[in-house]
Amino acid sequence: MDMSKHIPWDSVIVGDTLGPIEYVVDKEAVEQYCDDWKDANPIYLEDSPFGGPVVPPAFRAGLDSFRLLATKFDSHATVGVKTEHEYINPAKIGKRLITTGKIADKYIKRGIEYVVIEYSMVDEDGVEIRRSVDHIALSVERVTDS
Amino acid sequence: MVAASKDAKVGSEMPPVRKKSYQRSLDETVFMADSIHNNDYTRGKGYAGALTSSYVLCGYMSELLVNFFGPSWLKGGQIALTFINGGVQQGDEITCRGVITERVEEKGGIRLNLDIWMEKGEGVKVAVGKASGIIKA
Repeated sequence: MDMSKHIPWDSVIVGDTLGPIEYVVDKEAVEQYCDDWKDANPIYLEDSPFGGPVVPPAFRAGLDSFRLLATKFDSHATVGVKTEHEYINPAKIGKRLITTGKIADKYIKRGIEYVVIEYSMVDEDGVEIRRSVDHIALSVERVTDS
Repeated sequence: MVAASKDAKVGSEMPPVRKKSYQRSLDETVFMADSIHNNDYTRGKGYAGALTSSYVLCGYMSELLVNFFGPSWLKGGQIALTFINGGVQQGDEITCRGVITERVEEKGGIRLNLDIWMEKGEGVKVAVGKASGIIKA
């Protein structure tokens, strides 16, 4: 069988842990998000019932899985096909956010190779922010005809 | 159309969110020859052009749900999306929609289950999925 050129199939081990990746979402990053997505909700920019403005819940939702994959593999040819998120608590602006994950599954469907990444985010105080699962195609190149 | 409330009925549609798709990195980054963000490569694979990232589309759907549920979406909201039909390209006009499919009473309020989807152009679905959020009692 041929394999993804950049992520050899046999090197994808179900159960392997990924990360952590860490970053701080500051006021400027939130303003950039609101501008790019044209979503100037005041709970992100002014105030919220949670005590001050909060990070948009979809900030990097469905992106961190690619970043986690990239900690072990060359993921530049990958493409997201499914994304799932459960929002546990809002993230406060200025907090360090830490995301860890694992390879939960891998499968081949219609000749395309996929990995399933389960991952979760907490803030620097240990507050759980988000739980996620993404299905990622290793590339759009078919490795088999079936 | 209906706003989220404890009286929201099954079958009611959410107020849609309309956007012109934009991903900054598609304008500012030169992608590798076999990246799905490379126009020539994706066209060669049968797509209309470089694919907008799934996280960007997830952000648009999130706006639909935050508008509908309000801040309660950030504590207990759930979303699952599958991307289909060739995805979205830079500058596409997209519309995010949803309809209430179920009301479930649970501790602290009523959970509304929803079918959600994203259309581009003349109604081609490019993302489909489920979402749910809690309306406080």
